[in-house]
Amino acid sequence: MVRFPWLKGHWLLGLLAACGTAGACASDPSDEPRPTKPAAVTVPAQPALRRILTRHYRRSIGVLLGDAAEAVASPPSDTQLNGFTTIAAAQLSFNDALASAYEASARKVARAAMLDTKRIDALVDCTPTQVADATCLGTFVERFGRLAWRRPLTAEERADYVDLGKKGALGANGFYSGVELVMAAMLESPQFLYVVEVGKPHPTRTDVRELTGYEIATRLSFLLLGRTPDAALLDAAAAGELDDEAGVRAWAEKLVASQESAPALRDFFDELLVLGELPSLAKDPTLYPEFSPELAESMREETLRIVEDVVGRDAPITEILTSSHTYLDARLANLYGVAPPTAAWEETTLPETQRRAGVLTSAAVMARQAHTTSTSATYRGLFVMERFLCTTMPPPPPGVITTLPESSKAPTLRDRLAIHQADPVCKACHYTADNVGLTFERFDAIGRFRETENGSPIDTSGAVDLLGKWQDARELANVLAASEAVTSCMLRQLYRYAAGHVEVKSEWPAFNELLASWSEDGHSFRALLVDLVSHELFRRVGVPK
Amino acid sequence: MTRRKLPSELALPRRTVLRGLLGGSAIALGLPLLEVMLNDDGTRHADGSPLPLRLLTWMWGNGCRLEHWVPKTTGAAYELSAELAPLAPFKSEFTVLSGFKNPVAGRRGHHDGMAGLFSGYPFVALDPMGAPYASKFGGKSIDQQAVDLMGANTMFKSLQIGVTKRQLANQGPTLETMSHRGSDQPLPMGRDPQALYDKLFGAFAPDPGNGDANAAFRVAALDVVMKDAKRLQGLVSTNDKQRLEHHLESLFDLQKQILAIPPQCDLPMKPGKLDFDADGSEPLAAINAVMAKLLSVAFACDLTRVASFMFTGPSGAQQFDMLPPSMFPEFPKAEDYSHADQHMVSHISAAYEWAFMHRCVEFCMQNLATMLGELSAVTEGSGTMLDNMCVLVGSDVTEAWNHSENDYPILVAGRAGGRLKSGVGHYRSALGESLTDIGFACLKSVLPNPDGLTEYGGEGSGYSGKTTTPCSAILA
Repeated sequence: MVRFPWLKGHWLLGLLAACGTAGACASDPSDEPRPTKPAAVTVPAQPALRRILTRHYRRSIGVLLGDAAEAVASPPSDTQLNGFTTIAAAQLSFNDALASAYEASARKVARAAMLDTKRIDALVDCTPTQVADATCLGTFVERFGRLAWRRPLTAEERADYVDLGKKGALGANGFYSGVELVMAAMLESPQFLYVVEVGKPHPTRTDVRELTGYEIATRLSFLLLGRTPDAALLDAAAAGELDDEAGVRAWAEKLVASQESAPALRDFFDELLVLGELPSLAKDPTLYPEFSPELAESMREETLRIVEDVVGRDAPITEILTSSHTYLDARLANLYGVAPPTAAWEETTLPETQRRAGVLTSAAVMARQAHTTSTSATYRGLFVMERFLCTTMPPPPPGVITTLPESSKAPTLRDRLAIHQADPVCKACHYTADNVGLTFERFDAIGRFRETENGSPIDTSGAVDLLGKWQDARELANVLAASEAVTSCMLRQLYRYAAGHVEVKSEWPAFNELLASWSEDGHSFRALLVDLVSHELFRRVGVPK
Repeated sequence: MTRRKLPSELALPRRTVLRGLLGGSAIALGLPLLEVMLNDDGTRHADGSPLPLRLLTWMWGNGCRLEHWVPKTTGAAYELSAELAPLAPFKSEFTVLSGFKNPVAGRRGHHDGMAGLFSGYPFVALDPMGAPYASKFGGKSIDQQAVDLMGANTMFKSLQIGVTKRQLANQGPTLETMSHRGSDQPLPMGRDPQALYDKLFGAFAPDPGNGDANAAFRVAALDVVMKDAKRLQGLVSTNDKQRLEHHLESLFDLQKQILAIPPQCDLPMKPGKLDFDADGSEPLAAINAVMAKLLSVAFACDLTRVASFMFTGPSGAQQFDMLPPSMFPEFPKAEDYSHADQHMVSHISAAYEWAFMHRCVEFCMQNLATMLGELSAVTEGSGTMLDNMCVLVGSDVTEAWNHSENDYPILVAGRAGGRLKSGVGHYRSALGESLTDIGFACLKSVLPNPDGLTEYGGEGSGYSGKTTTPCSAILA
């Protein structure tokens, strides 16, 4: 069993601090985990209201009210913090722009949903006998409220919304104006817009609270299906099926095996691999005339297909780094310089000479981690460090010259960075990132293969103490895939995404247990998901302070 | 069950609903200042109440070239530098402030500058456990402090406007917006001119078939939603209680906007679609001109008294492809960089970078001139609207190539109804005064009770931007 997983992700920081001259690259030691005396028991972080993500909002409207309603939903876009939208969703506050956007969206959704009379009749399930029929409004409030808010309403909430419905029934469509107004208001409510986790007392411990069945159903559904729980999952919660580890595990296994889980898992990797901004990426049209939003979408699709293949086969997740095959459409075949596929998308193996492997050398990652007119060894190296090794690089200190020399004096980026790195202040921090990043230099700023830069051959070898040595990108991928730091980091990233916060020290004991069980599961990603969501770490929260 | 429509006579007339639900809480908006409303010398309303004052913060990204920015001479008769030359028509309207120090600098280039210039609080770093770096403001930004202290009952408490859409979005709120209502409450910059138009004036367009009743129902729905938020406050952590307080404030603001009565000033035409972006090439000057116009109307109609305006963002993720390679004949490689983002150019070969960055600053100042032109084209009393404003102008770094943090490029335009000195010209701080003194003076200059504010800025992470001494060079 790996006892100190956090160490594996952090030795690089120690290395960075030691590699150059003292001081310039030191990170703040108080920010770093301390491996000494890990807490014996796991205490999850205190809960925080998490605003539902843009995509989760849309898919939830679809589940609640149908495709036509989903089509008109216009939730505001997400921001991210520390690499994930879920972290920003749990940390940032509301503002006027959000209030206005959610209100407008809720009104449009409710208006569209009212046209689906069959669905509305089923939700109302009652014949109004007067314009403001409180009984029929009550049925609707209870039924729709439970679905939208992911739990039954309290008596007080029910009464407030029936009152609102009665006011609304004064509108042009009478009773149904009331239904529409209630529906819009429920979708504007913080009870819909935030994932609320209050929990219930633990039978013996005072430092944690147990999530309720409804709260677990909500966590499972948003993480594994990317949407609000449906009636079946809420019924399971009501029946107590999510009250223990075995019950949660059984439901989680069912959910990760469902068709709907694939897009939700894609969402995680889309954020982990920073693919979201690809379609709007700017590239110099004179240098890269073939680059277009459509090509960028194809790039993103290719990378996510590599991931989906590995996840779908329950192969070790590190195969996303080493996969020898990929998936191409005609645009990508042209970019990679191979024969066009016979179908829209085709599994293929890229030429051996390109030394590509898995997602790291995919055009999507190479293009995203580059400038508009050139590559960036620093972006690419930092991407590997942050996303796969869970370590980062401090900023250039104010006042330090950060410009690189002109390319006429130094033909390759390695030459230019060498001059840059002659300054020990720069070298201290750039050493690891640049040595990793330069290995990708045979892939240009849109991921095309090249052997030379400004007429000079490109050296792709690299070495970083403790990580090892490599000759090219494929060897680097193998080195990373064999590193326990990478699996440890993957768990941490998944947890950050799933829980909406960067892990806290009192959560580390659970990580040890999860890493051990994941290793036994052969590092299958879906097995990790099931292990994680059924673990007490995920089924409890700290006590709110 | 069959759907049946209920008799329409059961529905209440719209006006009744409106009166019944709204009470007297509607706010009257927007009268441009007409001469008849003013006293004899045009400095106050006829009833003696002061004219509205406004605060605008305006930024461009990635700093300047100091040698081309700082005027060679000081005082009222100073000579404009090359980078300030585009502002020549407004030379008497602004003060150049140089030689100031940022007391909250020293950690991370662009972040330090945003925090120091636009809030006075050191930023809060969020980089635990090797997660990607992010930071947020350490306190309210100056514009939001103004919102609280000015107490104006306008339709919008404040506006946030951005021109470029190409902005760094992976280092947290500090670099994403100039306006922060609190550490965890960044206010996003609106970057689409048509969306800004709709936000400002769309609510005043006729709403056939819905009208006032619709507004009443919307307000009633928000009343229930606010009850939900208040109930939720009883169940969550202290931090979430505070977040819900922000949520409630936003819902209240929305109700106010729904109930607003149309302004009685002339509305501009809705702008055409302008937020184009082809491979990062954006019509920045055209967007800027429209945004400047809309903002100036919003101020003139008193839809708001506070705004922040980000022409280009910190760290410069946008291109300046409107500066053609032919502008740089001495650099044959300029062609290679014609579509590079400004951030990248700032970190390549120094000689070309210096020339390029210099031209970028000139372009930014041309666009600032557009804004000052709009603000001073509105007549108010005996002067212009700009005379009743404070416009704080600055950038996130001093020079981008080395992320330098002393001697930021800073201007303060407007007279704030006489609260800001005129005729200062260029003031260079020999002793390196704190740039938070400038923020303090700007904030004071627009408050109904400036004497009530005795300090500005705050502390954190071992830094302090706190000051009790507003910049005397500008404050009258």
